[in-house]
Amino acid sequence: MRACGLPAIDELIGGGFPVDRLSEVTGPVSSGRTSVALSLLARTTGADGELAAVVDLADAFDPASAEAAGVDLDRVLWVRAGRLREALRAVERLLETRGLPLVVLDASEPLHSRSHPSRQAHARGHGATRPRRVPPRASNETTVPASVWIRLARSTTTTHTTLVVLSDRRLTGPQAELVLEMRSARPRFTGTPPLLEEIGLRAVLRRRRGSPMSDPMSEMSEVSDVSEMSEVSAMSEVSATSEESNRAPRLRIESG
Amino acid sequence: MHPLGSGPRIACLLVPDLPLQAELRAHPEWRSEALVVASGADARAEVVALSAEARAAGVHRGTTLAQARAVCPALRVRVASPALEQAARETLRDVALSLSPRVALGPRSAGLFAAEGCVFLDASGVDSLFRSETGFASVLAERARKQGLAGVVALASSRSVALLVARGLAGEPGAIRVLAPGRERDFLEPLPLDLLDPDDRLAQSLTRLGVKTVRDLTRLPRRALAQRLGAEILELIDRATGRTVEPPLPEPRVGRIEEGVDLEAPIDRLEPLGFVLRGLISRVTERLALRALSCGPLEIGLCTEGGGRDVRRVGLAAPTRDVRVLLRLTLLALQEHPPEAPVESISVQTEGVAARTSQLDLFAPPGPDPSALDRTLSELEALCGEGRVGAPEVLDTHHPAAFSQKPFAPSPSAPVTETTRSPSLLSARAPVLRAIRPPLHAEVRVDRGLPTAVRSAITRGDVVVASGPWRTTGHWWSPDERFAFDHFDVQVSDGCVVRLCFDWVNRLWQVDGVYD
Repeated sequence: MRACGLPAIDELIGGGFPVDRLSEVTGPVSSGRTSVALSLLARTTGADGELAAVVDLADAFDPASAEAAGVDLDRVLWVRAGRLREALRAVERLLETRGLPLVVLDASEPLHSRSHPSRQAHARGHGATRPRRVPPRASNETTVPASVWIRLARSTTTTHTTLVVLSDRRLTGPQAELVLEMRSARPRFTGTPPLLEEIGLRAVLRRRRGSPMSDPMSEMSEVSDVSEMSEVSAMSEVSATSEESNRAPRLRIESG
Repeated sequence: MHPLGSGPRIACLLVPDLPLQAELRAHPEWRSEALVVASGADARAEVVALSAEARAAGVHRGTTLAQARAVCPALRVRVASPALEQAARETLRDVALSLSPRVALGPRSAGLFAAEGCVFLDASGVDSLFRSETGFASVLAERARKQGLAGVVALASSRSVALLVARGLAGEPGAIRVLAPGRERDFLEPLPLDLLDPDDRLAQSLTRLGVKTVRDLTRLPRRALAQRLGAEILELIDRATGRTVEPPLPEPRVGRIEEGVDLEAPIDRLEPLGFVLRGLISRVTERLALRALSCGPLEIGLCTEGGGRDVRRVGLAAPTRDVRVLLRLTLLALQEHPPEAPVESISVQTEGVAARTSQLDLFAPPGPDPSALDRTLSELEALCGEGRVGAPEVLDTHHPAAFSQKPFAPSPSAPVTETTRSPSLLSARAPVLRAIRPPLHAEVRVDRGLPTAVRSAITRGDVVVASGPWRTTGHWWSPDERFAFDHFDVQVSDGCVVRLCFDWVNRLWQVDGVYD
């Protein structure tokens, strides 16, 4: 198990992300996917002194936030892939390299590619009968063939790498060993004037192969996701250190 | 240094027809053709070097191109290329340096031996490394052959004798001869005087005297010869007997590697240019392998029609010798900025860079193999583009969007101890921001300096709570770089927690990050 260092999350997912397996963390904007990923990176590079790679399709990795979260930036290989196809090829190449114990693929939709609501309104105003659907990505690569995930999942096993995919919606299908769904975070502002003090995360374990909670038959059939298997009410608070600026809020983790 | 009690041992690697070998090295597909290298392109130009097939067809060195074409109509003719010859000479030196630290390129000869290229190397004490001097000479000849330069190798006690022996072997490609110390005289005496390459006046005088071999020369009295033929004859006798005083071989400083080619016809498309570049890059990497180095940033020089000169620099995320990766990066660089005119000649230069190594640590987690990692980094850069692969770096600036990537070269792992696993490290967490590059335009309603409603591509609604403003300014002295931002941490009614930013320079609202 590769623990992410957030006790409630680690407890929820049974001790950590499975080593040598593909895992997926899904959730909407401001749900805390990045917090979980950076915590995992911090644990891997900072505390364990290992190397890790981030394949960043969304170009959303913020080095300052990562450093503040405890990530040893010198031990992180940041690959800014512009297209999904490039990102997947990059992940495959990193897995083939062997010796990188953690690879994080941020396959979330690039936020800057979303169109402004005024443009949507403009489209409606010109006779469009339905609101214009915003394409998830500019290119024609919104879907990934299942064979790609099968290949990557197999590679993680043979190369002893933990692959974690961050996404807005489920991408990896039945190939993910673990699926953690993040729900909208709950920020807490305190004081006058208000300061962003805490961000509470809410997580639901959607899938966990080999977990004592899951039915072995459902594991084998792989037809549909195991619905909300876990309701963990545990809540833990991680206090901020005194070095943090007055802006730095605390991160509150709330599972279930 | 040579072993105590024995004299120096010098090896000579000689390529008798360097212009031809240089052409064949660049165009291996011509190996079975009747090929000649001429001093010029006009019909009166002379043949400088020729292949065995051309010789079999009746062409000789020194004949004019018109005569050669008359004898062999299917003859392929190339004009001698100084760039290719220079690269071939440098390659000879690289081959020698891969086996000995003391190396010197032979001087360029004139006349009969104008086409030869040779390199001398210190071979003292090599029998302990290669079992025998013959074994050493075989390895030397084989390494040269692998670089596309078929030559002969001679080993003797001095440069002049080694060169004479090598010239005597020139008719037998791949031949090796090791002269044991003290046996030079017996070997040299029957050799023809032509091998000493005397100047024309001296050669005519000696011919008139009936002197044809080294033995004939050494039998004549030195003083009388010097009185009649001048001091040059003494130098010739010393060379013929191996008694020349020679300076020790130097330890040369290796420089940049350059390979170039003059194209037969200008190229104006990228695809055929790729074929030429593949050959050049492949030769560069083979020479780097001889130096046990990897390829640093490449410099591609393009001479275009009309006298234009264009130099492109191709950066690498990590040193590599992978031809496929280097070619892809080069083609991407050319694709981005194509040459403005058809290309007439191309050169590839690079600086050898030491490949990364790592020492395994018993108490530290193992990392990837450095060479495999370097290869991966180069491939990733070829895949994603230059400057998009590396270790993230926080810049020393207040600009909220500033970041950079530096080459990924992790230092050796520190042993993991209980101190490094301290829980305080994991608890020191700041809010995690997800950057939006470039920032999204936002429409913001403001009341008494605070945002009350937001509309942008990722969030839309009333502001539930706003924290700020947090002002950052900088570079006020530079009109192009100055910035002034007011940031607000904002919770919007649709559940998003975003970082709003008012840009005072451009006077617009943006969302430049999401708390996630």
